[in-house]
Amino acid sequence: MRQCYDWQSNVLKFTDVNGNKYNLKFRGNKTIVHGDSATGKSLLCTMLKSYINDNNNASFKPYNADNIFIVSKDNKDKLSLQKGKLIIIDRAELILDDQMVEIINADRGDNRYLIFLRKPMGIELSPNYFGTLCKKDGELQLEYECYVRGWA
Amino acid sequence: MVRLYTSGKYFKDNEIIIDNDSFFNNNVSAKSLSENSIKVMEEVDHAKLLDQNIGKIETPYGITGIQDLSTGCKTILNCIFLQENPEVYPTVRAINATECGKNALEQLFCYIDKTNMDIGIVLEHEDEIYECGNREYLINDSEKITDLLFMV
Amino acid sequence: MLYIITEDSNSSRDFWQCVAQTFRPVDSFLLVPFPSGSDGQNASGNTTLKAQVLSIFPKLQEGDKVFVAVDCVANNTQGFSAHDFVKWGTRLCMKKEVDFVATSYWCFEDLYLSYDEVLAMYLKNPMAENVVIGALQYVHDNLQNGTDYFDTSQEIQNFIDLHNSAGKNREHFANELLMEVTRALKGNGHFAITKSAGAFHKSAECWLRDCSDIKEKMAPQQVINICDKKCKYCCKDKGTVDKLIDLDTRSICKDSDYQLQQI
Repeated sequence: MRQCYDWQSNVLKFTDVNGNKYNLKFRGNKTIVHGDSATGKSLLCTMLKSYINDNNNASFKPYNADNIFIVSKDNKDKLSLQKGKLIIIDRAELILDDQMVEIINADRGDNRYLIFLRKPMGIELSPNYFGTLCKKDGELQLEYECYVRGWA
Repeated sequence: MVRLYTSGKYFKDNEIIIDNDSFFNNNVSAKSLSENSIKVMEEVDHAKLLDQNIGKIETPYGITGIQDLSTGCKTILNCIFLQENPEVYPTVRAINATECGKNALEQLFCYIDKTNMDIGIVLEHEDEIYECGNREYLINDSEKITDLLFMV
Repeated sequence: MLYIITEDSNSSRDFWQCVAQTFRPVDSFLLVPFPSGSDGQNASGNTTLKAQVLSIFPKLQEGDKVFVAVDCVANNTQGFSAHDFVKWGTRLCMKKEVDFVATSYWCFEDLYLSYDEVLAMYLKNPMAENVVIGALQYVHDNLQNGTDYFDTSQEIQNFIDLHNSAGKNREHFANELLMEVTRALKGNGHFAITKSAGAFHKSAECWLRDCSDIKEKMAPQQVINICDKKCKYCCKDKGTVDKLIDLDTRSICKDSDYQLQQI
């Protein structure tokens, strides 16, 4: 079974049941995605959730998403327990609190983060790691907005 | 004129809709969607209403229901709902548009302008908001500007 | 005209004023004053940056440059996003065909942590601690390579084990490390960099000021004991120009889109 998220290459890649292809190549350990509405941010989370929250036998899923943790209001207390996961936070404006921000800022690479967020909430991240989702070559891709060497 | 607020602190809890996704899912039915709402869905989410009875829509990402519209789109539809049904939540004076991208914000501002809707818009991000069109904006009940590029 | 904007009156403001004074004619730049707060005092902090840019906007002419020294480009606190600010500033200045430039380091501390001379001087210091050497070498090398250093490496963890608050985030780490390193150099002269206003005129003056000016206000015996006998700085006995050029060519400045000399 294929992994949705490959830790080594830092790429989130899968095709959903409707044939939408996702190919997000992350630059670093933390990424904030913002930009226009209706670019597929929540859709991506909904699709991934279906690979995680499943009572069926694992072999009935097209992808393995065991190394992904999607944060919600109900499980955010488990954030500090995660290790080796791609942690995805959709609608972070409504979910993040000070304690979570502290955990994320102090995490130096035990986990990786994909955060959908427009409001500045204290996540320490340089502009090099801000991006938007866009459709390119038939895939939903991550487009970074700038690169300054010293901001790495 | 669009009344913008950079924080929700200007309103009491029962005066502001904070979670637009939740409000939409709980209050707005497919059957109640007006022409205005259908146009907004097309503009923001490129969603075409296929069956108004059950809320089936066609989006660039496949066929789904109105519950999968973007939060930005839902924010505008909530505004339309409030204006078309003022008796339902008479205490509401503002809506939190922080989860709206600039494309949704522009549609929201256009609707407010067109209908002279009297509602406060709470916006706690500045993600390319200066791309929104020139019009009369009142910021935090004090500063009048026409171009959001000059919002302090 | 160059307009220099800083968040507050801390050491970064002194530094950039010094750079502008050194490499530009005196009437070709302006340190933008801080706006007044509601209490009539000068307001400061990253939330004032936008107001500062807007205050000079009416004066801007084609060809001018707006230079903003952001203390930490990764700060995304309530009311301020460095990312949004840089995009906004670029867009605003485009209206008048003016360059908008933000500092090309993560935080001010990275400038000196990447400086070859800071590493060299600390290595020569008999009080140098192994944990600090390890962290400084690691940070220096990553900065010179253009890579993030705030990771799970043992060198970083060892330093955090000694200085707990350094683990809070990268900016805290950089600040603790730079203060620890440059404080240890104080026996060699005035090299202790802190964030406080005026640091480059006092505790850290040897990095920037003319050695001749510094020596003038020292007692003769101090000059002998500290400057002559103990100072290991490669720009010993040199002036501000040489010191800044050395920093420019032996730190992350050399790889940035604009160097100190191009300000």
